[in-house]
Amino acid sequence: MLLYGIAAASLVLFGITLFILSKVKNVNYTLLRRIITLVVAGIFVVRYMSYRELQLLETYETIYDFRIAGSGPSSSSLNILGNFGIWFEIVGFLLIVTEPFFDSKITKFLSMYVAAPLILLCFAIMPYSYLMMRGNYDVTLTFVLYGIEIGALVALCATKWLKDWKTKFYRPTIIKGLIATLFFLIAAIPTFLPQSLFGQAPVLWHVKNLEFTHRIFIYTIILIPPFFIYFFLRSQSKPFIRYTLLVITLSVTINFTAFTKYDAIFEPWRWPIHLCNTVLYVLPICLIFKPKRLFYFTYFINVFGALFAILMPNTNVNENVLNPDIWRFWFNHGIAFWMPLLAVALKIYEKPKLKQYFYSTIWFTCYFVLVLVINSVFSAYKGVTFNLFGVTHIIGDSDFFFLNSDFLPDKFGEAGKNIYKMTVEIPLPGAPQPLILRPAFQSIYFVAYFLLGFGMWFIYLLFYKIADSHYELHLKLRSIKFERIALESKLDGRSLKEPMDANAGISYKLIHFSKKYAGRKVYAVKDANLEVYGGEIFGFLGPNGAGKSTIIKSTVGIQPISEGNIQICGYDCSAQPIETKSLIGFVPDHYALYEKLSGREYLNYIADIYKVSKEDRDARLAKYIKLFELEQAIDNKIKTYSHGMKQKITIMAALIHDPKIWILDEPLTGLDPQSIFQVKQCMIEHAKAGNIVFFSSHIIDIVEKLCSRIAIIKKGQILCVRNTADIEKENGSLETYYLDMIGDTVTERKTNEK
Amino acid sequence: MKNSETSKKNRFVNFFAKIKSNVKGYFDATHIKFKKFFTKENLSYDFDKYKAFTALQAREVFSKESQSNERKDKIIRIVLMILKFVVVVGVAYALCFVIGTFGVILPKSFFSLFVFFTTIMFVLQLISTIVSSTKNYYISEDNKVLITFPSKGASLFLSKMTIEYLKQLKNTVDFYLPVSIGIIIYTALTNPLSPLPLYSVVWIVFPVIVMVAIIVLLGSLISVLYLQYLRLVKIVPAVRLVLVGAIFALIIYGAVLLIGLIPPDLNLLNTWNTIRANIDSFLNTFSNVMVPVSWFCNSIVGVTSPSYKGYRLNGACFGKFFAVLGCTIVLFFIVFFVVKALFLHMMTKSVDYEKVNEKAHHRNHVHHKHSTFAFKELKISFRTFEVSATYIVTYVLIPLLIYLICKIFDAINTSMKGNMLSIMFIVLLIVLPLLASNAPLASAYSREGHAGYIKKTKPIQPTTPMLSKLLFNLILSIPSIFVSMYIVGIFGKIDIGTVIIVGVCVLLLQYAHIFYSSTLDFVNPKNENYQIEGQNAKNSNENISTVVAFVISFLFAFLVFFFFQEQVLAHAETFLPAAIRLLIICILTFGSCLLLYFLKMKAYFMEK
Repeated sequence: MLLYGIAAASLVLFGITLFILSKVKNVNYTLLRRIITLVVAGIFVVRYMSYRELQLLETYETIYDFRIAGSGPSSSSLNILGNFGIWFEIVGFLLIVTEPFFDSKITKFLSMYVAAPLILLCFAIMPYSYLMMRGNYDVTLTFVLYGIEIGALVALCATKWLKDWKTKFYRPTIIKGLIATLFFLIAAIPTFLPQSLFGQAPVLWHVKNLEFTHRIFIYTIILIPPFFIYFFLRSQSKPFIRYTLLVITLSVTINFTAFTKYDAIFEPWRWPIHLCNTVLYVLPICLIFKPKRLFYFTYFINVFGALFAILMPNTNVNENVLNPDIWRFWFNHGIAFWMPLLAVALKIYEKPKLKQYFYSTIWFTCYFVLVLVINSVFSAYKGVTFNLFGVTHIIGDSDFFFLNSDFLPDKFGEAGKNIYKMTVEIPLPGAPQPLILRPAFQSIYFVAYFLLGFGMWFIYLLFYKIADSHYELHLKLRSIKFERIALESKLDGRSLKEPMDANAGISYKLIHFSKKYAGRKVYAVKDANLEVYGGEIFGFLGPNGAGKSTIIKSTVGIQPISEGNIQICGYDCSAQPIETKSLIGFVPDHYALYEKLSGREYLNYIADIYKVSKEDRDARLAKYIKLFELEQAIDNKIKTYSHGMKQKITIMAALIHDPKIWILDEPLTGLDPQSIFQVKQCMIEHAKAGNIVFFSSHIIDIVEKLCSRIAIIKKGQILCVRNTADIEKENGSLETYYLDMIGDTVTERKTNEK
Repeated sequence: MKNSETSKKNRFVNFFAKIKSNVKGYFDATHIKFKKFFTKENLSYDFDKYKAFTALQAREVFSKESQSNERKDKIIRIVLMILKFVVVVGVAYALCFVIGTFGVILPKSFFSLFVFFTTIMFVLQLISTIVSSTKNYYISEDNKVLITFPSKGASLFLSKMTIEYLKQLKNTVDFYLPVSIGIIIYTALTNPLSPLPLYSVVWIVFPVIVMVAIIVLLGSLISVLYLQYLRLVKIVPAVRLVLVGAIFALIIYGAVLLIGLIPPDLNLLNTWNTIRANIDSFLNTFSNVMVPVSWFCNSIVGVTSPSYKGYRLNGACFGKFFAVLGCTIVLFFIVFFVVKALFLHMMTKSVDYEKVNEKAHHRNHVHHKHSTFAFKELKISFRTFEVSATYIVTYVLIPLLIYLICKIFDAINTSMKGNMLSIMFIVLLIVLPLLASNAPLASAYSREGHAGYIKKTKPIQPTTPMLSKLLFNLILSIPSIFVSMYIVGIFGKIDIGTVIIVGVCVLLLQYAHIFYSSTLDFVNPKNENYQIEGQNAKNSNENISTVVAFVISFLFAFLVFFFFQEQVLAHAETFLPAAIRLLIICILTFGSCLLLYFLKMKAYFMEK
């Protein structure tokens, strides 16, 4: 009851303070809330690390015999309830305390709909949780602080609700919040909880030597979480990513420090400064304050070390797999391994450069020297006692970073052991043993670690490249899906194979078409509009680099469209590419043929693609072979053809399926006069049949004689679309008109002619 | 019919007449050139033009498209080159260490081993140089441009020979030099009976420079004959088919014979002394027979003498070196006057044969829209000899290799761990060449050049034409894997169910790598490069595919060993659980590669 009373008093105190101050003008409520949460965080830390004279916080496993499930001071179910309370309080506490610093919809949702119920539950089962922590209800500072802490947390939840109860949360936010909650709950599992729930596991389940259980732990801790967390977070905002990673890291840190006694601060040989332990202190600082050098030290040095520890754990092979030490080891090293990698993959930190590796090497060297000194000195003074603040301490030995023991040399057989045995002994005053250094082993260790860490960098880069490419693929597929949905809505229930514009007839339309090549700022073609109808031979003129080929290539499908639309007989080029291309016959500016096929084989291959029937292809092939005089050569390999013959094959391939739109990009280049005449005849015939012939050329005379209409393009913009007959009436010749349009003045021309 | 028979007869008649006129023409040309040899005009060449040609071609041959010229990147490249050199030296040293520790040869036979190695490298490099120099001198695409410049043929020829020399020197520095240095260092440091001198590690550079010159000069000389062979093959393609087929059949026959000689009970430990004596005897005989190569090696490491231990360079060795150098200079002049005289004539002559125009009488064949791609690819593949030959050789040689290895392992009495290692090795030997043979798929689409882009204008989904490119590999893999696993099965080291499942795993891995390689190609296409540079364009996608093949192969072999070993330690009666785990991994790998193939094609094919 006293605990409830303290909690209630705290609730009232904090609640009223917050409520009143929130109504006062000129008070920055967010800042106030941040200050209050920092105070609560301080209370939590002090309570959590309560010192001996204030009723020492013992490690959980020594209080009760967790080999039996549900063991504790109360009944089994209440004990388990109490443990759950400890678990939920960590999650609720972190969500409440971090929320004011990461103000967003999801954090609001989490603090209101996740943290609040958890904290209320903790409030309700407070006594059982406290009993599991302390074993009794003695009124100590811990007792009081715990009550204040819970009350303050409830107050923070309540004031949050009062302020934001009108906020609406939509389904995506709720789903994201719930997924994030799942991650937080898993990360915050107290390391003693599995054993307290299930008792002792079979001893045969070894978590070492890559045995089955060991592999399950590896997959579960280092493969599965990062994948799920990465896929969940990659499309979220940066603040939310930082928030999620921070809460996860802090959860693991809190559970890790539960096993560290406050008085360890006076016993350096017991400091948690194994390399992977440092991650749990460094990472939260990196996620909050973003110090680059500190982060990259963790990235280069810790990740790699954690991986090795995971593959070669130094836990006791006979330890029960649900033992808190095992879980502590795996949570710690799991975070040490994938959290820095995730921070870079999710772009919280940039991919490192050589400079960062250089600085992290300096940090690593300092760490190496520090732990070398601690290991050597305290091992020399092992057993010596000293008094500090009235407490007697006995110096123990230490093996930080495994620099002192033969754990690593053992892995390398006799050679490793021999190197380990090379020692240098230095007597120290008052030390029962000499200071022992192992220069050979320690230097090799340093150099090997340095080089392997450097090598791992390239492996990380490879994985980032894979991850980025997958994300890019995901975005691209999503945009394709949206385009399809847009197409279906435009078609309004009609089949996808039907034209968008059913009344279009035989037509070719550019509708605000623009094209920008990747990586360039300037448009190759800007806002081009054009309409060509059946029965026309349409000429497309322009200087080199004007955009003619760009428009043609975008029409036929070689390049994608950046903006606007191209329609062929009512079909949209980008949305209905198959239907569009079946209506087009394309002659490129330079033939591109399969030279190992014969002409006939190539044409049949093209006819197969366009599903030309046997009768039609026999008739058309016979007609065009005769027209282009290829009877002698049609069954020879294309490799043996001259340039003109190859061009003729290309033209035949474009006509074999009798296309509605025949597009030619400078088709007459390299042809002899007779061939040019033959091609022109084809074009006239094709247009007479009601089809469109659209061609670009530099030979103005031919364009003038052949085309009914022309368009002139310059620097990506269509300058004009006119009838050739009108041009001749007004300007005398197309050449004059063309030169005027693209910028040559009459005076310049006359000077050139002279 | 009569017309075609007459035309065939005419072709043969024309062919022989052509050879006769060519030979006469060559002699006449050479005779005339020889007469004009001592004229100032013929002896001189334009040094400035030579420098310009050499610089132009060197940039084309040795620069990489992705290479940056920044100082930092240059330093990294140099460091990596040195590291690569050191690694190869290290590997050679390690191999020598293994040979020495296991007593494969006697310590005094290391010189003979060096001679043997040098001979093999010389022969291989000579073959490679002949092919490379023929292409470089006479068939290279840049000849069309270089021949138009106002320069003497001598300048152009010398520049091409210089480039060839630099290429071969690079190859030598990449492999022969570091391996030789590794051998020398090993014997110098650890071979008390006949150490090679350590200082020859520095001196070796000079003989190697001369050796490469000899190879290039001989290659240039033989390239004349090789070009005639290439022309003959163009005119009568059946010649190549018959020749290669005969060589291939001989190799297979010889291999099967040799494999049959392996005794059923191979007790290496008991017969080791005999085996070693035989190896020593072979090496020493080889060294005595290959006198020129022995001389050359003496000029590198010196000779041995009763008055001192090991090998030392003396006057005789330097004499040999200068003799070799003298021969090289003589050879240079021979090549210069013989090959250079023919060079322009051969370079400007087209390798294309005269086509025979036949009146059209073939029929039009209709195929289904999807199967037409498969027919097209098969036609092109069969008409491209190099492609089809490479595939056939690879897929036939793998079972042969497996047969050899299985026979050897079967003859050896191994422990359980030894059995597992042998299974691992067999699996590696099946998977590695299979996957490595998929590297050309990483450029199959790009090799089409602009024809690949034109595919995008056709009304088809890209999956059909792209899948048709994989047909050869997809189909030919099956019998190769089937036969290899059948061979493994009949030797009885693992039960038949496991053999079948492992075979399926290998097939899935092969298919996964096929799809992965193809994905590399269309996601990062190099059509423009192949259109401009022809089929010899450099393509980093093939390198990536090869590297991944190696990684997957070694990883899979390791997993086979690891999972099978677990079963052994658990005293299991069968390896099926291990095989099933492997199957799950392979299914996941194949599934992900296949999925990514289709997804990336949907997302990127039209854009790239």
